[in-house]
Amino acid sequence: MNADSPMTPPQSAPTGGVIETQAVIVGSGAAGAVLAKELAEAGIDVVVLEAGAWHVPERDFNQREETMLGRLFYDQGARTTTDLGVTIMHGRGVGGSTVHNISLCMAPVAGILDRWAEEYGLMGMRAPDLEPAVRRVWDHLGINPIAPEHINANNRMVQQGAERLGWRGFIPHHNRVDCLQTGFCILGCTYNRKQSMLITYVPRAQRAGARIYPHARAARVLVEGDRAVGVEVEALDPQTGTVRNTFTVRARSVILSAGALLSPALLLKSGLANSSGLLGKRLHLHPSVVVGGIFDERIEGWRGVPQTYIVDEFAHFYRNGHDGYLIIPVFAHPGTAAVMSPATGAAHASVMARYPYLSAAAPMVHDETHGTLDVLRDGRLEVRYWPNEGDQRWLIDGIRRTAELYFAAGAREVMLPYGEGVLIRSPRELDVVERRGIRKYDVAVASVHPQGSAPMSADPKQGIVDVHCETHDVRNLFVCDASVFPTSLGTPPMVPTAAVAAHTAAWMVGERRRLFE
Amino acid sequence: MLPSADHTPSRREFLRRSFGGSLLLAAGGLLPAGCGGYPNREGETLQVLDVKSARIVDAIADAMILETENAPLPRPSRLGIAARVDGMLAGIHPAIQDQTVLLFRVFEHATLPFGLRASRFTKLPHAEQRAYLLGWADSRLEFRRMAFQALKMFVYATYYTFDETWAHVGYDGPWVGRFEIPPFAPPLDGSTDHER
Repeated sequence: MNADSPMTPPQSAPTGGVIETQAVIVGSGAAGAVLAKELAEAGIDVVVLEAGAWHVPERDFNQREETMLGRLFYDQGARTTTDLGVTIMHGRGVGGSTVHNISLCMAPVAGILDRWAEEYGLMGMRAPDLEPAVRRVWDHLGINPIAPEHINANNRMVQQGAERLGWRGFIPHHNRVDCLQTGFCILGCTYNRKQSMLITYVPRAQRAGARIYPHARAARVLVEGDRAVGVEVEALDPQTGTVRNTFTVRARSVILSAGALLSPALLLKSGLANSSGLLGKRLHLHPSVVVGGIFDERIEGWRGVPQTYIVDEFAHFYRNGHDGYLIIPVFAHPGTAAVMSPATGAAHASVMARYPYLSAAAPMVHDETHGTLDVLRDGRLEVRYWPNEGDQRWLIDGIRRTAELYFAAGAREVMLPYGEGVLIRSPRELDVVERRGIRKYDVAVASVHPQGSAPMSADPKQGIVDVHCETHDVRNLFVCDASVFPTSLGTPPMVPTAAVAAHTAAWMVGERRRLFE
Repeated sequence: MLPSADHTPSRREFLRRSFGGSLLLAAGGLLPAGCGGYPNREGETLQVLDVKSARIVDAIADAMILETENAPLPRPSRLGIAARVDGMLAGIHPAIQDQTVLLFRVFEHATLPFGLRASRFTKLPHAEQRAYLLGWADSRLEFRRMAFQALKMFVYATYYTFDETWAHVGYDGPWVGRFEIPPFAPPLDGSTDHER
């Protein structure tokens, strides 16, 4: 293994047999990479299994949607709920969603963590408990404030509208260094400016001795008695994705960090850790809908740093862990923008012709809806989710407020997110939002933050894992990723996910005799 | 009344409902239309779609994107949109690939029950194709609206990835290939990245 280069060529998956290790980690994203690095640096032998590829950014990230959506996302970026009602951008590959995310870095919100303590008995997860882990992640990801001069025109419109209305907002932190402002973040940073797990924690884990296998899909968790002892793995052909061979990893502890869709799916397939009946039953998605402001001046929202101003005036969950939403600028390259744009034919073409003049933002709701996740016999996920009445109210409020914001910023027209396309020219026309409501196939609802599908709780009847991410039912079996959040976060999940992983890793190292020896 | 998640048809239900009823209807559509007349496209390499499905995709895309035959946009079928949809499908679960191909065929042959037209979709004039297509978007039957969403997703997600469409939307495309920018090589000496 070459530890001198951060871009060590991928190790291919074994062609069969059994690998012995102390810790096997399924997934290499915001949680898996952190766990791998922290455990390996503590001298624990680690194997990481990643179903996707191990990309080399300067070679593989060509900034083209038709290529990159397939490389970085499941189902070519077109994963949806089973009824096609909600689009779920679901990342894959070494580094997970941190490779394609927009680098928004927010520490876990104290109001949310307090709610977890009060409702789920998670006393060890309050803000002061997590602070050392947050600081560690902050440092390793190179998180720094976004420079005000990096606010692009799309975000400036949102900022301008919020300031004119007297709404609270802020310039967030990000994990980019010397950003070139090319705007292709969601298609992966070709130039390694985005400090994703792929170029930070993963190479450090590898240097500390972790063995990382791409194209290695965990098929089943192995249990002997009441204890997890390993994982059955399918080695995938990198070209076709078909199963090339199988092998087994035997480990003292098994950690699932495959994300809020795949970690619970693996437990369901394995028939494990579900005595509470809650596995896959409390899926949150942070549902959002896109509202567009059309301006006289050119915005060219695809240029520059994509998300540099956030409106948190309506983030009521800051205080008590309940209710509200953030308004977050969003922008997409033409293919994705075209899917999200209303109508067809000339009306759609007319919207797309105004693409350079469009600013777009989305209310992202701190949702209370409990979606469900199941696994079909052929291995596919069955995800069911549609915002409940309360969350629909917040989405409606968010659409109205975002439209008001754009009018305040000087938009000539505002495009509402309904099927045939609704353009309004004045806030007086906003009654249409109440009338239309949030109806499936009429409103394009999207999600980039699945979470909560294997919730954490001190009470085994109220959750799948305890405060240390260990399953209540099976010893030495952990779930550590966004699955474990007992409520939705309301904020971008990368830092909270990585911080929970760092916090858990520190505890695991202290328990190394029971867990790894 | 707002829809509830409890009454959402699963993809399997969708197929049962659409194909249970629609297969009969599709078979009815087959009789007058026949099954030939799906030309090969020279140089087209397909992984998932067969030639028939590819030509149906071409026609759906032309009808969805072009308001009229002479709309001032690059014609999707001429750009090779079927091959790009095929590439998208190639990365999706095989069961969904099969269902999608089936959806294209049902759409092609359900013109009689859902459009009161005797010809299959690919043989209809452009204006009638659009009317039939939009009938799916506005249908009272949820599975048809769901199918329309899927068709729209495949068509628009691929169409605007063609360089030829970018002039219309004022997009200047990737930097890769236009500018030479050396990537960072993050250090592994234990320093944090932002200390550089």
